Amino acid sequence: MARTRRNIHSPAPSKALLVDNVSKSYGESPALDPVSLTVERGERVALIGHNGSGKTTLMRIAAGLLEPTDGTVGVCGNPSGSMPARASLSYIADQPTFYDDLSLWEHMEYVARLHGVDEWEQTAADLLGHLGIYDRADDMPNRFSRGLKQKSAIALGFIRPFDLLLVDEPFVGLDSSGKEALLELLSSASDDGATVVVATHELSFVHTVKRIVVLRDGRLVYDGGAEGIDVDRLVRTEDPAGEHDGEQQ
Amino acid sequence: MNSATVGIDALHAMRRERRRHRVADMEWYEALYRVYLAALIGGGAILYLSDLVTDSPLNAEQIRNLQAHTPHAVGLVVAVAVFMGLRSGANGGPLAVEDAEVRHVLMSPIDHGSALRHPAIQRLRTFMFSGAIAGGVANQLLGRRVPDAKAGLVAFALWGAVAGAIAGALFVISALLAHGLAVSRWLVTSCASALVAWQTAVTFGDSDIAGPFDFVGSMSMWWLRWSPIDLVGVSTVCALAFVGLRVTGRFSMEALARRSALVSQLKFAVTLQDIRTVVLLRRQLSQEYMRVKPWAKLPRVLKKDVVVARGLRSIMHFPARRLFRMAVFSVGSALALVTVWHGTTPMVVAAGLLLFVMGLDAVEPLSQEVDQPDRTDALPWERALLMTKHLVVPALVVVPFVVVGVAAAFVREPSISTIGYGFLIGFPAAWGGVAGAAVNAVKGAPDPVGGATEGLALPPEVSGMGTVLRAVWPPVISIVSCLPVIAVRETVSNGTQPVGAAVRSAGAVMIVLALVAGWVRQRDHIHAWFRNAQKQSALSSSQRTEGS
Repeated sequence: MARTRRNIHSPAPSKALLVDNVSKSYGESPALDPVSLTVERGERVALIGHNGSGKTTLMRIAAGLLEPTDGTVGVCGNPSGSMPARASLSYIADQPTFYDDLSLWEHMEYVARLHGVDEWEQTAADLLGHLGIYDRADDMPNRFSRGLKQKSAIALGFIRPFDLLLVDEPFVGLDSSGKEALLELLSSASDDGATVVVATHELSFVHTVKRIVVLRDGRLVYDGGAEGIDVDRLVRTEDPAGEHDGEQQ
Repeated sequence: MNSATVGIDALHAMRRERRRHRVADMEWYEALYRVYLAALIGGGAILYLSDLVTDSPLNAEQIRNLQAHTPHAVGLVVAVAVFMGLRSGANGGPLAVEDAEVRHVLMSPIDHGSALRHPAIQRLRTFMFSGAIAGGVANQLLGRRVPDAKAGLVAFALWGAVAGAIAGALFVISALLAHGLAVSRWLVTSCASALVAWQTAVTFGDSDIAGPFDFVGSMSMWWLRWSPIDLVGVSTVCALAFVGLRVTGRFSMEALARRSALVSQLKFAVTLQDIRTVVLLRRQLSQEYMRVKPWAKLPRVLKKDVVVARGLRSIMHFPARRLFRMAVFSVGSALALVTVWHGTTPMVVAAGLLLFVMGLDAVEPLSQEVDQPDRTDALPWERALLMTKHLVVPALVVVPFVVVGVAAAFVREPSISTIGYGFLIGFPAAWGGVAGAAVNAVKGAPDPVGGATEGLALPPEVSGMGTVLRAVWPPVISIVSCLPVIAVRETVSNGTQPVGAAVRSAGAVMIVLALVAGWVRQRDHIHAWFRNAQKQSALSSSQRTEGS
């Protein structure tokens, strides 16, 4: 359904996302302490943390929308924000943004063609149908409700090819059918070999991943397996790894 | 054809399509009506200002001074524009693309230079056009004061427009370069300050050294003399424009994303004439944050009154750049008032507006209070009394800036009487700036009794005029507060003792300011009374209808 893989002829680097000692400060306030993280190709990762923990900052740095104060980020072997990185990475932000003067269908065409996709119509129709907004294709997405905007943003994120998908709080505002549709799209992307990193607290997604990364107050406090993990406790506790080990014992 | 080329083709095609949409959706009658209104009001204003200055032709010595100093003085204006441009570039300017453009276009694999060059050219064009209008108007105003000029007013306007366009271009170009070359903010500020200092030194010092932007001022005088060396400067500007447009591809995505969100809000606020929101967004755009650590702790004696203490605490958190900016506004208004003293009456508007903008910074504690209507309504205080007490701190805060302004006026006009009249005229003028800004802040506060207010009782035509007056009268208060300088000037030209006129006119301004304070105190009562009268009128009207 979605064009999840870019047809790359050159040998693909094994690391989809390489975050090396990245920190970010806004004026005097640090948003992200030095964080290092590697995501291999084809992995599905849940990034979790409470409000202000640095999830969105990390995602925006990886997407090239923010510049790190220190450190480097590589996307499929290219510096984040560079043209090859932008070609490989699809970012669905927590706040959807649209043009005032384009319909949803025109948005789909524009984004697809900006990424060099000529045969986009069938994919767009499938995506919108899957998300249940095909009948709204000719409407202006800027006037949609929060949930419909979110669905539109998801459709735009999937209309283009990508190797790495970064999604920030995608389940917020979605109804149950929207959540199901998104979960299917994420699974389909993974099945196609794309790397998926989702910042969320949505248990239905967290239960499908093998790896969880937890941020708290800008620091990476847990990076490991997802099995048997109590997500809420992970976010709250001072030493989630220790707590988890204790529980296992 | 690679994907990047395909993407650029899609970008161009979609831009064409969107332009076509915009043109198709345009309400032509509405647009023409707006042009008509702008031409009527703008043309009327220019004619009015022109009439104001024709009554004072320059004498021979003044014309000699004009010829000697215009290149430096205009160059100083351009230096300030370049300063602002460089700072804007260091803060992520001058472009503000749509939020969706950042998300969808700039995050796609197409060359950023190709995507951003078009908006950069648009920005360049807009500033050159605005500069040309301003320069043309200014030079033709000058032309009216030059008796027996061989050139016609059209030549004055033409060369003024050329100089203004170059000044506008330099603003944008310097911003493009500072942003594209990722020059650090401290380096940009240092270089920009050095350029302004150089130009200031040649403007006010007796030196034969040319200033870096003298060529712009010199071009504004091509109605008198043609100087081929100025073309070197123009060529340099063209070369810099070329480089500036080339480096747009190196713009920071972070800065573009930040500005895209803020600028759309800024435009909306401007549409609503919401000056407070414009000020707040402007500060966010330039990343101007309050100091975390206050400049000083308040002594116990100043903490006695809770409102005054709150206001002073706010001032103690002012960042250095805001204090510096207030000082610059004060100096600018002082120099404008000196120019008024020398006969250029319209500069009183510039002086008033500068003090109004300075006042917007000074009334920050009051504005913060107005920004939190739920909080103020929950206090066991009469809101109007709270607002009135908040006027005390801004009135005190501007005192040192008056001293700075008088010092600047003394440098320009070194005479002991400058100090005396400076303080006599300067204090009411500065407080007028505070009063205008306070009115602007308070009138934006929500009405605690609720409901729409005065507009309801008025027919639509008058209501529209009322909206304009509501927007205009805060800066008008600031401008009116600067008028004593004209009274003093006229008294001197009539050969009478100016002290009396200065005291009387300053006193009149103080009465106006007292009325403004009274308005702040009684505003809610006045509105409640007005609403009550409306209800009574509606009630009696319905009773009459039932009776008949």
